[in-house]
Amino acid sequence: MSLEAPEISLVVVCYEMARELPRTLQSLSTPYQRGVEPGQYEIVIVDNGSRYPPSLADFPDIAPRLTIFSCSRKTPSPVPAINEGLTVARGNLIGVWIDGARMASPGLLRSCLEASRLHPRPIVATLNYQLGPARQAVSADQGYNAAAEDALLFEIGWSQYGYRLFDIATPEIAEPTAPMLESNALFLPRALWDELGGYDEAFTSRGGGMANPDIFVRAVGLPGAQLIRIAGEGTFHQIHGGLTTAGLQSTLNYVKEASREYHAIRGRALAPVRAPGWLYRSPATGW
Amino acid sequence: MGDPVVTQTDRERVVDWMVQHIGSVLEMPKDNFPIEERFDAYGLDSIEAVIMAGLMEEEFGVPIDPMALFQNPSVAKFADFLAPLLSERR
Repeated sequence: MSLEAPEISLVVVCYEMARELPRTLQSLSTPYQRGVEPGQYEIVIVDNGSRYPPSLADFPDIAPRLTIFSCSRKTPSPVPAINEGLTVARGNLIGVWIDGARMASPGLLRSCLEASRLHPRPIVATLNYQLGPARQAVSADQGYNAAAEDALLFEIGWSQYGYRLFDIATPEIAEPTAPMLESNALFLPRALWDELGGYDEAFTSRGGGMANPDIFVRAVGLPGAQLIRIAGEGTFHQIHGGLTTAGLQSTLNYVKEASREYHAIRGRALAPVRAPGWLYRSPATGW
Repeated sequence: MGDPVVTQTDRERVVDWMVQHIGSVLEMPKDNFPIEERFDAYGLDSIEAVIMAGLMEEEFGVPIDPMALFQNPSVAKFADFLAPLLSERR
């Protein structure tokens, strides 16, 4: 296996995701990922304190170089884990998964790589989807659960027909150019991650609060940066009792409290990014 | 106990704060703000409404269930909802 620095690093944070992480990793691996070679990228898994942390032996079939380690600072927030992952990542283009429960569509990596070549200071934002018939904050209250999701994924044969994930998922924003609060697979060149100083560890609340929207807003605001949204690809959240997918009332309360934390840290209200930026349409789907 | 006395000041204070906040977030003119229109009519989405709920808790010192914003989805309706709660606290 090549020890040369890969073009892309994927930093994936997980916590108690024994069900979800294998699918996420398979979706990030070749041959599911199309248009990229295993030697072009690496995956860095950072476990944030699971009782039974994942190990390399759990994933013998993952094609790109895989690194798994435990965060040295286990906190309720994934932010220190992300930053440790950024330190280890060797690629020039680094994509961060704050939530390891998110599967990818088959052309996501290729599209992000190609989009990143369109500008010297690209902020490449993929769109968020949630598996199931509605946003999981709502569907969870209506009986949607891991078993229902497993059945949906089985029915579409996702590992062979990855684009059918769109058929069983709900977008988090109405259209690709709509106001966007965050991207759960955000790709920036190494230099821009360094310029931002990584994620802000002032966000200490469980789940990171608004740390992910914060990095997105700060990234888009970097001088000379160009937001590029990826249409026709996406990441798909598997339900796992996460903080914003565990029922409507708990989600609303979480977002409310996290927005207060953001205001206390930044001194202003959090607002979605309204600039549409550039739109990169996946050549695989043409959407 | 009778109904709380809602002063015009309570309602006006809520309306003023919301107009300032929404106007800033959406870059809308604050004069002649459409306080009777639904939030979604001028592009305030649900996540922004929930964020606003958190900031209003800080501003007004009362717990605010974000669902109340969906049940009272305009500046005028929400001010009508919140003003009595502010009066009760006095």
